[in-house]
Amino acid sequence: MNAVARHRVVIADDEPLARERLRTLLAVHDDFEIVAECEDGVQAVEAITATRPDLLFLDIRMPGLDGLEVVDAFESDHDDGAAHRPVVVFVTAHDEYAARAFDASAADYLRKPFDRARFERALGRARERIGKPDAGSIAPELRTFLETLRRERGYPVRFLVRGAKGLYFVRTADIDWVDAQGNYVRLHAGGRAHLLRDTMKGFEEKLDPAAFVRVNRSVIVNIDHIAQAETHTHGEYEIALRDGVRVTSSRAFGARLHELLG
Amino acid sequence: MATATQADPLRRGYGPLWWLAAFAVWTLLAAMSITQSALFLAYRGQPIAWGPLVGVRLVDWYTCALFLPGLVWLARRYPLERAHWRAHGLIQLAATTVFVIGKYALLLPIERHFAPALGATLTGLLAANALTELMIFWAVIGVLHAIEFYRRFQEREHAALQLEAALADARFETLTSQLRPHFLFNTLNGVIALMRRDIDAAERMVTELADLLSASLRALPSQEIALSEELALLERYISIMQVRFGSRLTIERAIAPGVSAALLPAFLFQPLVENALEHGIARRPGPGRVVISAERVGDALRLSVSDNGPGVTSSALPETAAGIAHGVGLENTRQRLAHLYGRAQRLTLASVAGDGARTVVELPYHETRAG
Repeated sequence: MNAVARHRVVIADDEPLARERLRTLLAVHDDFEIVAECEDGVQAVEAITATRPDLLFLDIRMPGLDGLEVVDAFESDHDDGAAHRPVVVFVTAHDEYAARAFDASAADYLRKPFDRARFERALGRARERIGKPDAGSIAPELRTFLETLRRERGYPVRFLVRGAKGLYFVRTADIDWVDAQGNYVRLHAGGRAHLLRDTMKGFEEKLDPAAFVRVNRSVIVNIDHIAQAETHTHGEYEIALRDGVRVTSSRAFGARLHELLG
Repeated sequence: MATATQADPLRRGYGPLWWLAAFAVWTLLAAMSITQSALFLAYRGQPIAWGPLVGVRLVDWYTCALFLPGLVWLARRYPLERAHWRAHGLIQLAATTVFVIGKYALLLPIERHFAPALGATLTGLLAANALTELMIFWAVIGVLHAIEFYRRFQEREHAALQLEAALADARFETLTSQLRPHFLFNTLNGVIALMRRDIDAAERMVTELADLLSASLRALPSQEIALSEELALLERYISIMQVRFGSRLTIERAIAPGVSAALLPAFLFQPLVENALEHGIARRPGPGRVVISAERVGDALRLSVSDNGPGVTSSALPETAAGIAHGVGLENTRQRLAHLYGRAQRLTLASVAGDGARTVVELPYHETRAG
């Protein structure tokens, strides 16, 4: 066995026993090496950045950031292409109908509890994908399923942002407004701007519609942070935010605002 | 802070349709009385003066009908229950007597106006009719009591059915929470992991899981169980979570001495703890702490579960997603408490942003089963 060719593995699960289970099953494989074990989503993102693993066993439901948020965080970190993204095997105790459908087709999804045979199948498939151009890609059906799971959990209370000095959080309640910036959205909170890789539509869906409203094609505002709203012309509003920024709502998006402002 | 509100058991009033029906019955009675008089006159071969006959009878019956709302009020306000049928009966006797006098005081000016020749006086009218009229009032009030009695019976049955449904829900909810894939599969996954290095611990975990499933499958003979029994069940659940989360999870118990015999609704505590773990610990990185307490405060048993999770983070507490998520698991508990203890209970969810949430339940302290 060539020690140089060992694949680097990160395990992220908030239950020690679940990590132990994966560690035990991996122990017999000399071509895999565990480089980090993490017990929450933030640790996972940090470990991925620090260790650049080839394979990631990722629990979907974790404190801090869930599995999908972890994937989103490192996706936005690798604009240079998917080559550096690890292969992801989601591990979860969710047993929705959709999840069962994956058991047959996708080995990148392990439902707890699993036996050695299922683990080997998933590992074998992961091994084949490591180093391939699409290694880090996630099947669209799986992504849809994961997003459904996340919605059931409620809206995120914070977003992970990658700054020059490392990772940090922006609390959802602190966001004043959001605008589009190319492939990114810019979160404005307390006079500072934070870049996050997402689309306006994608980001809007992560926000609680009771707290945030999209006022035009490229701006979402925090309802609680509106200082004043004036009727501009028919169906349009001139909105002054707490931080002094003024935005004009477009007619197309004004209906929700009109509803809120009465 | 959300406080449980409890609606009074619905005492339905009498709707417009009921009053319309009562008016129809009254008119029917008047019509019967008119027919009776007409038959008598016909038998005697006397001419029937339809106008005055109908007029007099209708006035007689409708002046009587004016007191129907009063009779309804009496029947509802002073039901003839075993405990106070004497007092209530006397009140109704007195009230109906007053009503009879009132009725003839009303009738007197009408009679004088239309038949001045009769020279009617109140005393005269009362002497001629008071006792018959009193009997009519009693007959009516008797019917009203029967209606009220039937309605109360129906309401009680309705409330009992509702309580039964809430209990069934609670049982189902506990069952499904134990069978909840996430709990069950994670626990089984933990067992598999344990099997490789600690067979005894794996055995314990399977046994505890079986105990929990058995307890939630078992039909509960009564609605309430002793706190000690409830806590014993809770310990199985805690033990499993403790093995799964290891040092990440600390559970503290603050059970006051001398409250173990207190009765509480079965499976009341566990959803509160699950809620704290689900929303408090499973979403918070780093170590989590849950404190479970039970104590007697005056006439109340106070149970509380607090966690050091993220709490409910927005100022608009109940409206936020987190607030709703936190509250949903408690809705059934809220309903059960309201059904069992009416207004004598309280369920509050207090939260400090970033400093966890605390659920407090208060219910009447009792050690012997109520009703």
